[in-house]
Amino acid sequence: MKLFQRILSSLSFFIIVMLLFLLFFQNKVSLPPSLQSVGRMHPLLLHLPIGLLVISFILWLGKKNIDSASFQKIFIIVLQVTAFTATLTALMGFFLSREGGYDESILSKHKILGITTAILSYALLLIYQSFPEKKFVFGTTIALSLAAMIIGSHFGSNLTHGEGFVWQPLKSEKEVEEKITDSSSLYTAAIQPILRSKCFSCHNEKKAKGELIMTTEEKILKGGKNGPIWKTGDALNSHIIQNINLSEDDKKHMPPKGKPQLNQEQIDILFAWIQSGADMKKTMKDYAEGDTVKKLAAKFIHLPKEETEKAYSFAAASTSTIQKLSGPFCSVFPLSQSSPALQADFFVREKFDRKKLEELVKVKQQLVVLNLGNMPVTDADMKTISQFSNLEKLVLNNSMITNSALNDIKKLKSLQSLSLAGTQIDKNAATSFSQFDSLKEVFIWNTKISATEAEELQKQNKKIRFDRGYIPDENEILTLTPPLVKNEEFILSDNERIELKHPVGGVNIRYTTDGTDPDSTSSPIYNDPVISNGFVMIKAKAVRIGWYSSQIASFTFFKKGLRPSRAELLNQPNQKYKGSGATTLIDLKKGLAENFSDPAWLGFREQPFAAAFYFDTAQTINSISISYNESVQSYLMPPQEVEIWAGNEKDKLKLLKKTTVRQPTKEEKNIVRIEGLKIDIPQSNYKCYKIVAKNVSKLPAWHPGKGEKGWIFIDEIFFN
Amino acid sequence: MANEFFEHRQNITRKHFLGKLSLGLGSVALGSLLIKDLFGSGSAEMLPPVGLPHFAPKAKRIIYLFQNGAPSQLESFDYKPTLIKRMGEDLPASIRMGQRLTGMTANQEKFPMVGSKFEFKQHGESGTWISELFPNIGKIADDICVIKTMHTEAINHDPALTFIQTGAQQGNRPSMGSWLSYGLGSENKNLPAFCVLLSRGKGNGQGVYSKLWTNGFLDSVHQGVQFSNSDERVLYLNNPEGADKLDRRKMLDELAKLNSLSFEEFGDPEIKTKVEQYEMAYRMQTAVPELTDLSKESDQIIKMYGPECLVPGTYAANCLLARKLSEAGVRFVQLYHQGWDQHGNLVGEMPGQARDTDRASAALIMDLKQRGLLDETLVIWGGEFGRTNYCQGQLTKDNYGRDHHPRCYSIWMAGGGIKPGMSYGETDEFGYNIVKDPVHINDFHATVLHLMGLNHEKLVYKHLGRRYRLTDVAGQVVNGVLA
Repeated sequence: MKLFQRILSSLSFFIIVMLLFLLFFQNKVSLPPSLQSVGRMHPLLLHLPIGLLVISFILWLGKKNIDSASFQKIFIIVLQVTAFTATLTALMGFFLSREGGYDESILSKHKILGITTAILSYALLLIYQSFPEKKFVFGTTIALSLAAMIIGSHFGSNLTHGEGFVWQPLKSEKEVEEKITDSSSLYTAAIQPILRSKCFSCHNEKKAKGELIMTTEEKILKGGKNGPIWKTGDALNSHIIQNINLSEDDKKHMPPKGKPQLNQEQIDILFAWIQSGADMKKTMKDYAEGDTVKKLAAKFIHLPKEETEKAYSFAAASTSTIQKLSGPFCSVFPLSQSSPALQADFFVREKFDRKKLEELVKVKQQLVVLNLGNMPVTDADMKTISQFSNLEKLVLNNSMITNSALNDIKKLKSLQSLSLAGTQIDKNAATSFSQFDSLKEVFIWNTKISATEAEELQKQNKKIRFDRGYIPDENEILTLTPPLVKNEEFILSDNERIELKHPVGGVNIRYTTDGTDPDSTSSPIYNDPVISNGFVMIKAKAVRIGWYSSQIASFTFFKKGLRPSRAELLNQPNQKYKGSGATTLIDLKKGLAENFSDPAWLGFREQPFAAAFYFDTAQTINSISISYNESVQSYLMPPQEVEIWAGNEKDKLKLLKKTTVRQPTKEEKNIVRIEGLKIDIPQSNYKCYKIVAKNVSKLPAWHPGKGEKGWIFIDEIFFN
Repeated sequence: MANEFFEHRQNITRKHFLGKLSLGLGSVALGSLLIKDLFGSGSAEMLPPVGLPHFAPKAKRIIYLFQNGAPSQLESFDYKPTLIKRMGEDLPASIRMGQRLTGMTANQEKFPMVGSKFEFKQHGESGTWISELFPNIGKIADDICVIKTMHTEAINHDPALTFIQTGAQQGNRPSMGSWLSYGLGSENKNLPAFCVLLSRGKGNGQGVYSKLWTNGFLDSVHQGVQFSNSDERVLYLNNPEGADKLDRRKMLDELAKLNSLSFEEFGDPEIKTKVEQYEMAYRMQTAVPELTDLSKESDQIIKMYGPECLVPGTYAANCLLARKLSEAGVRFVQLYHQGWDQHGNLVGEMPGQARDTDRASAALIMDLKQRGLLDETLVIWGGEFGRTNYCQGQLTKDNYGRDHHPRCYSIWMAGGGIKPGMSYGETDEFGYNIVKDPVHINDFHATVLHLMGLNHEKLVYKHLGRRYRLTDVAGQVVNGVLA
């Protein structure tokens, strides 16, 4: 017995300390399910400390009638059991409070009073054990514990069955608990509850102070002794608002002094609601997002969570199972953090592993979405798939299934979406479609089902939406893109050839090499790579029956030829377009026509272009090609005149050739391109060559800068 | 009383004291088992772990068709006949309400209003107003939702681009794709979660910078992977001549061993990221070729997107690749098409820009739809701000330009949980201010995250002492565009 008593006392102490400790970390406590169950036994156990405290009190009051020895023994046991059950109840109550879902303010009051009761019960035990003669102390303590217990349990019962439980049958109104949603009226959701809690007790059918009844919509609009209690749109002059705002001592102040008063939030929303028209019917969703009334109302109402998760009836699979099923080419994952539903995707056709698909049977209940697009699945695989009883979406685009696959798939009772684009399904599958239970949409783009057959299908299966996808318009003719070159550089090495290509199949490339525009019917068709003899401009366009020919693309190629060992500029280029000096001309770096400020270009205006090129040993040169930028609108013109000098020493040069160059005409004013000028020279064998290219001295009349000097931009000189 | 109390306590023996002490400590110890993260670095609130959506998402992937330079909403999706009627009139100060101007138009004396030179028509059953520059988008009007009331605070490209891509005008924050990669990861482990494809039109272009797809302070694993515009869309992916897959695997294994030694010594998390990226590249060797091989595209596809879709580097080719990447599980594919900055010569340049994107964007929607993927893919088309309703520079009968305008602009979205066939929001008759239902950039981000199953307030990352999120300290989900 003594051991039992000691255990009880120690346990009580133990529990109190633990409870206080857990209280300190309140929000961080997370309970395993077993303790949650323990918490739920709180309402079961709490009856004991209540009863025992009362008995303790009664016993203590009637102490005189029992002999002191027996009284002591019995009373100690009673106090010990009281303390133990009280503390244990408090601990269980704490566990239960972690579950949430209780009104916070009532809960905190109940919690504090409950714990107080438990601590006081333990204190009672200590006081009686250590100071049995201190009647006053003991008496106060037991009175306090009883008080705490009574008030605390009152709050506890409010938590369980709401306020006013006992008196409810006596009340006349039977309010229907309306579920508040977005489509409820703001009045019902936010305004009426305020009136109910603060006004109805005096302004109802049974008791109508000031002849005002507020309990029904009709009666509240009618008003009372002083007429309607509000003026729509004019809150300041509404009686209800005025009375609320009177000083509390004023006789007319509402609610009357001593009764529960309105708090500021409730006053604000009443004001705002009346001010905005006192509309009793307007629903929550009809109010605009930023509306004041709605924002204020939001504080009172707890609208249900926006996303109502679809509830699935099956349990979740374990994380380890899901992880084992995933692989580098197969992803299995839940639809969301708390959802038991799973999705499985397969990737990379060449790595498709049938076994992975078969393994999914381990989660056949949980699989809701299966994506096998572009995978080589066949009709035989459908046997596995038909086991996924809860499958809702199945993607089989571009797989190898045929009509017979549907015989297995139609067993899936929950299947809503089926994608069959790019498969061999044809009209013979029609009968299968009507045998599906829940099918809502089927994607049949690029299958063997024709337009008329699809219409038939749609008519026969009104509940299913058949999506045929994009059908090219027979009458729409598109324009091809221009041909492209395969060569990466526009400077060809000796044996390099020019290769053209076009991404669209069945296209013929018509091209020219002489600078004229190619013709769709007469120009040669590109078959083999083109050989060039120095500078060549290729113009090409793509042609295919049923398509508009492409625009003409032009490509300028130069041949690398012989490279001088040194170059020297005899005239200085314009300050802004110096490039990297003379070496720019022989560095084999070409510039772009659109960007002449690139340092690959040298620009000359004040002085004509003049440069000398030196070879270590005398070379045989047949032609010289000059690459220049023709951007007419930007004043970049071909040279007016070119002189080629040659010799073995710089001072002893002879004029070999002098040519004039064709200038662009008015029609060509928008040209922006790289042009080449190939000048054939009589076969010569020299070490040193000098080239002078004179820029246009007077721009033509039709040019915006007419009469001014033109520019000459050169990026490379080639010696072949 | 006090004396007696103390006297009483003094009589307690050591045995009793130790006994009570052990009871007390024992109870604390037992209780601490229930407390998660008692000494840990866990945050006070229980934040959901990253990797899965917070709630069941509508969209699983995003394709963001970003129109860089700011396409004019007045010539595309916001029809304002008043501007045509009052062409040439000065913009009233009551409408402008002190909106700050860019340096380009701040010195203009007059702000002549100018209406669209391109005709508008209503399309589809929804009657969405779309200009003649976008006929193909007009054909899919019943699949898209046009938001006309996007607005921002930034008036120049760099801050505005940074704002809409990373959630704030200051840089160095993670971009949208990085947040999604962080929050949801990659569906297909063989491809990066975030891919970036660039293209450029012939119009006046503004640059794009890699800070727009940066990972900011998140792990660099979440950085956007930019594809190249050559025929080989991922450069250097293939094994060099003479080396095969086995050689590559051996090399990577040895490299991983060296890297892990390095990591043990220095603990630099970037080393781990590098190892992960090497592994990703190895897996991409298998996964990428089947996506970038354009030789087998059917005529139907070529006709749908337009023949440009086979020329790498064009917007159409990027749209086609985006569909393939998204189909293969890439979480966020972002396209940029430059050239929409029509400060001048709008009539000359905008049709070309529109032609670049019109057919391919519509084709993308149709392509996703016919494969049954549109309901789980969110497609967004739009720029960083709008353009002014008054002319910048010389207003002539045939041509005009428009400056930047942050107070209202239009984008459209389709798929993935968006309500199709509607227009959201209204601007005033001058196309200058918003009248109903504004959607701020933060609201836009909140909505996009919501569609992907993420609560924008709960997807956070602690950095420099505070928690950052894409919507920073603002943003509300726009319920009006949700299906």
